[in-house]
Amino acid sequence: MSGVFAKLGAPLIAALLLAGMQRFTPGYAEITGPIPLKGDLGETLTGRGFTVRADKVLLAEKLRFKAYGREVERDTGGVFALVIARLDAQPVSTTVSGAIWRSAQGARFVASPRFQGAPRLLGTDRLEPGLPQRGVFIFEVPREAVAGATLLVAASRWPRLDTQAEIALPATLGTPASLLDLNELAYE
Amino acid sequence: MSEVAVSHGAARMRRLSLWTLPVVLALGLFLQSYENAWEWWRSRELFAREVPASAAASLGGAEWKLTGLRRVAERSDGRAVMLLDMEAVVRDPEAFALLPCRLVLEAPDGRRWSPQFLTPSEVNRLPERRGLTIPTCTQALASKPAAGATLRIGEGFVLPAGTAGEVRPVLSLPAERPRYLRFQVPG
Repeated sequence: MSGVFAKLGAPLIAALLLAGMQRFTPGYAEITGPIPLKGDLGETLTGRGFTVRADKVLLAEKLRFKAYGREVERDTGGVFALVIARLDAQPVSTTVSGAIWRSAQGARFVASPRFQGAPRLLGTDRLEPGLPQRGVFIFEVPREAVAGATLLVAASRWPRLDTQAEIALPATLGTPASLLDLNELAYE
Repeated sequence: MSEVAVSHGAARMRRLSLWTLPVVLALGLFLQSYENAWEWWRSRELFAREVPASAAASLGGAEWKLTGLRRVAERSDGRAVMLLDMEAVVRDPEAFALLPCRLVLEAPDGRRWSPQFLTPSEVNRLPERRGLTIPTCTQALASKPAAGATLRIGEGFVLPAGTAGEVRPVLSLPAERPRYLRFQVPG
């Protein structure tokens, strides 16, 4: 009996083990991917190189701001999602340029590049330890990507073995304002 | 089912193979990770050398001396602007030209501020800097100076006003890492 087991059972167990390993071993990208740090609105999350706290989410159909002495107005076919947040570098100077709006369906939207020169835009200037920046991340997203989204914040867009804060945003947000002026937003 | 007889020599060979396996695996791991480990070692700042005030110290092919660290402005939002002046006398041009240079200000609690571009109005507050273009550390290294050259190096920093009095310059160069220099500030 033991001979039959040795002949059939051992190869079968080995084959099962190998198949399991092939099926469930995480890929290289997953092993060396971002290190998630989960939190909620109003919660300060301390990562490896920065701390972040998202305080408020606002929606708007149009945004107005002054840049380089000119008044600029931007509109969209979707909606502008604004996250008022606070960033601080810890313990060395750093740039946090990897802000992403992840919809409930999993679509990822990087911060909009249409607001260069706007006031208090987060992710553009370098952060210095002890000198926190309060400002806004601006995303341009389809209306169906608003509910139940997550804000991802990291030093780079695709962090490798580095912190990525995952801040759960409210499941429902009010109707978008028709026009918001970035120069008059209450950031504090 | 009959057992297959294994000769004494074959059994010995199998035992030897089994014992060799961990050695070969360890050797394989070492060969594969050796370069990464070496790179990690050469990118870290692990061993600080304290440089007394007004003294010069050798690092990365040059003699380095701190010639000034001054607070030149305080912004309304609690930020202090500081200017750091260093002097480097080049001894080994090849080692000196290795980029990049890491010249930062370090607080006692380990926080570090990297140099920042300052507006000319902030830099020109010092009369002796007016009209002068002083290279940053990386610019000085990239200029590939000859042996014996004396270079003046300047960097600007923005940091909280409260910490401006307690920071110390830290210099690390690729040629000498993991060793680096920490300068005492005079007075």
